[in-house]
Amino acid sequence: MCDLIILIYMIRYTAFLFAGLLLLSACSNRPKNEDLSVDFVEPELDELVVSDEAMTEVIENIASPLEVASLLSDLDVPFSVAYLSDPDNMSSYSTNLEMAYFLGALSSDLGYLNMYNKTGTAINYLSTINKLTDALDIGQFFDFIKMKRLATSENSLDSLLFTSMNSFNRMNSHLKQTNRSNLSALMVSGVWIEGLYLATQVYEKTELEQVRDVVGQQKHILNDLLIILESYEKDDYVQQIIEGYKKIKAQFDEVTITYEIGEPETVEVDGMLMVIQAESSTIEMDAVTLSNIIDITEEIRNKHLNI
Amino acid sequence: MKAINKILLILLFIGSTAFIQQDTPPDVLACVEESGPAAVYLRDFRVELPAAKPGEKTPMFRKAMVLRGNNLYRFNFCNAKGEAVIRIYDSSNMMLTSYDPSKSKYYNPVQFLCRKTGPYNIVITFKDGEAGEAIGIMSHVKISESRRSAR
Repeated sequence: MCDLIILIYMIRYTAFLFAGLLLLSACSNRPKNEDLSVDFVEPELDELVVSDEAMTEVIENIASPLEVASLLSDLDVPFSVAYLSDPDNMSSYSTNLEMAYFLGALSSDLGYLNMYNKTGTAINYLSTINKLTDALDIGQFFDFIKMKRLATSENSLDSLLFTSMNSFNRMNSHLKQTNRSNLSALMVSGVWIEGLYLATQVYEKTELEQVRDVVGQQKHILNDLLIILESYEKDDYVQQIIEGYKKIKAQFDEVTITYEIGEPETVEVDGMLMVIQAESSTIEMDAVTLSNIIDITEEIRNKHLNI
Repeated sequence: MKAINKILLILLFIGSTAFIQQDTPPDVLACVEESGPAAVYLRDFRVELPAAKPGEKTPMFRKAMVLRGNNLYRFNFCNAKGEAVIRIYDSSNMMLTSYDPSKSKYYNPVQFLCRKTGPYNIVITFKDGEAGEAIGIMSHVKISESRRSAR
């Protein structure tokens, strides 16, 4: 037995020695002045287009729990708890599909609460999100105890924002990696509807031009989201979500977005490079269309979230 | 019987690890801290690429991502090996590169003021096609705070 182990070790060492000699000889054969620089080859035009088929798996950031809230906070729009869904509604969800959708909506609400530093209220949301992530077997990416501690501590808002967003990203990736992309799609759909609801409600109160643009921009995002959801339309629940979103889309079809082409402008501020896209978009959306979007969003969101 | 016990133990171990809290890697946390003022973390990329071989395309990391109009995004990199270069493309053109060949200068971080909502391709390579390892952080920058901190 002992001899056999020694023999295995000898074979291993001989193999390593042989590989090392091969490597050395390969290096010594390279001409001293050989140009090893490699030019970056620009991707082909057709490589840059994200096809409908690829959309399902590759595209990210379709809906973000933080971006609408971050913009509203940046515009000094006052906070209102009236825009939020009810975390105590969890008992009305029984399937994984329903829970994933609800998790998305609550993640969006949590982003809004955190962005406005309403961490006391956020604890109810954290508690329900914790239960939902456990039910969906993604609880390992949601550190409830840590988040609760951050929510109750002063001066830890940045950490809370980071931890909640990072958890969301990792839960979403894990769902995709474990062949549960349907749950990921529903979670993202929940984030999206709650973000749109937030923006439409804020617009109704403030009539801020920037918020109106946020609403109008959702036309393209909704189209992409529907492509993703339609991959899972065999599920009855996904079908219900699609039907609701198509009603919203019918109103967005009245929105026209036009583009003005221009070369990006590059400026350097304090050593940091900033590129300003010159290709701007103009959103044409009349008051009736906008009002219809606000109404249908509220109707569909309340229906899907059992409010 | 012993073999069955071993299999059960292994399955139990694998099952239990699924519920162990998985913390964010410290190198990601450290890089988030370097993302600068007014930045709100959105996501991170872990990029590991081999060296380019002469005559072949530069190895690249690519991610399709929706960026929103009238939003300012910041991308910062923490390089463990090599120097990461980011390029952002829309469906037909390059919008941004963190390498300026006319000045032979690499910028880190870089900011992109997006004016058009839609899918963009984020492409990351390493300087001169060398092998590299880096963490990239994408943040949303609050424009008002950014202005305040720039004053």
